[in-house]
Amino acid sequence: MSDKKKKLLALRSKIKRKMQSGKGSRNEMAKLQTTLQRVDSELSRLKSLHTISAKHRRGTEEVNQHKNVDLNTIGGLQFQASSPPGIGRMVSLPFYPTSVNTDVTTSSGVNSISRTNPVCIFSVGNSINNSVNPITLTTPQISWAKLRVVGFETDIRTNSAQNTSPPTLIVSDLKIGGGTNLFTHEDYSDGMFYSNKNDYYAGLRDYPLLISPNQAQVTVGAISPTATGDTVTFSVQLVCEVLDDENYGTHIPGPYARGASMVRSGGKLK
Amino acid sequence: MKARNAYIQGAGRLEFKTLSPSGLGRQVLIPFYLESQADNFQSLTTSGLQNTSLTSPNILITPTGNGATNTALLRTPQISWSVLRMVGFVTNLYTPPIPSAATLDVCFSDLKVGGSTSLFVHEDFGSGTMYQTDNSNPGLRDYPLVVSPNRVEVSVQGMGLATSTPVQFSCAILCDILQDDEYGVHIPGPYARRGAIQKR
Repeated sequence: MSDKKKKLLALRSKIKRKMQSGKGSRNEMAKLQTTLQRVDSELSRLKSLHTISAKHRRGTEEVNQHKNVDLNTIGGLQFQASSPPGIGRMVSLPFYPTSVNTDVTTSSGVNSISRTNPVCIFSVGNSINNSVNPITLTTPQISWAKLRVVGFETDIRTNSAQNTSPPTLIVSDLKIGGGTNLFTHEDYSDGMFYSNKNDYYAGLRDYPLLISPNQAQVTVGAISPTATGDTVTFSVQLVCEVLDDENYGTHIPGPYARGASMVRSGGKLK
Repeated sequence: MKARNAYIQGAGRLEFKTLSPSGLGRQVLIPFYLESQADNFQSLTTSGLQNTSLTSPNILITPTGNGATNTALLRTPQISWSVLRMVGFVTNLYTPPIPSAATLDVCFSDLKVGGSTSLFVHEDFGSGTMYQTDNSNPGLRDYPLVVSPNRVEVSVQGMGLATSTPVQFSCAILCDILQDDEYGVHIPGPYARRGAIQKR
């Protein structure tokens, strides 16, 4: 018998003796009763823990024992597993190059827009040393669903000499339709702050709805410490919650996009 | 186990977690810009290399001698359209993947809002790698409000050899929007709520 169990049994006997003696106010009796229930509950937990451990040792553990759910792992160690976010949550909607120039190559070729492939390649120094002319990217019209924009992500891969500081993407002016900028920076920011490799999502000023025919657009450019020759292969996407899907129905958004956490007052858009 | 109960995580208390956006107006980034010219520092802009820039936050440090470079002062723009609470400081350092000379490090000191005391615990310079976006954010001494016309500023210097390869970097403050002229008043994250930032 474990020390903890011995102490709990001793405490239970003591409480019972005191309750049987009848000495003490009504409040004291109620407190003793509550403590007794807690002790009983803990003893019961220890008993089931022992039972489960024994079964586990014998390999006869039943997975669906509902008491398992209430058990902490011995020592209080907790385990977490990364999981998918749930249906319709945190879906990625790519931007496609819709306004281009000679510094960018798309799936259709140099200086050609593409509405089918979101990946672009900037050639640094093609027309301006250390830089490129910015381009505008646009999401397609999503007529079959109502979405809520909850984030923005970049995927940036660069090619430069191994012993030089690499180039990067810069981003500016993310907006839905004719809305206000969703970035907090009025001008350019380093695209790496929005990288999908970061262990956090950079925030936005608002989580607006994206309803067809509205589209989202963003301006991107590239810069490099090296005057010419570097390239940046990139794609950018919105992170959205599907609120209503014509084929798959209405979903529950993630907690960050539910009514209680979207409370705001004042402002132009109530 | 009642599997239909949506609030039960898993048998044996296995917990599942997923990385999610932080919520409306939380953990937004405001970059620093090189507003004043400083030797060894140049802005990388869409028009190429410039001595200063109010629009592009990426900065190139080119060493000219052994040891520390000159010190530059970077500032965030005035944000007239909102009241922000600053909750962190983050950097992106673009060091060469396989350097052929000593790597130049980018060091920061004196992070402050307006004329306040430094928000870093280090009185002098600290390596920018401590604040990189792929690290857990180290804390600050306070989470002050950033209200226009106040701006946030930070001092930066490079540390390397004369032969070190120039290094590009950018840095930004992490903020929670408390009030936005366009989008209204938001609820800050738990780390920036009244109960969590009590002080005596």
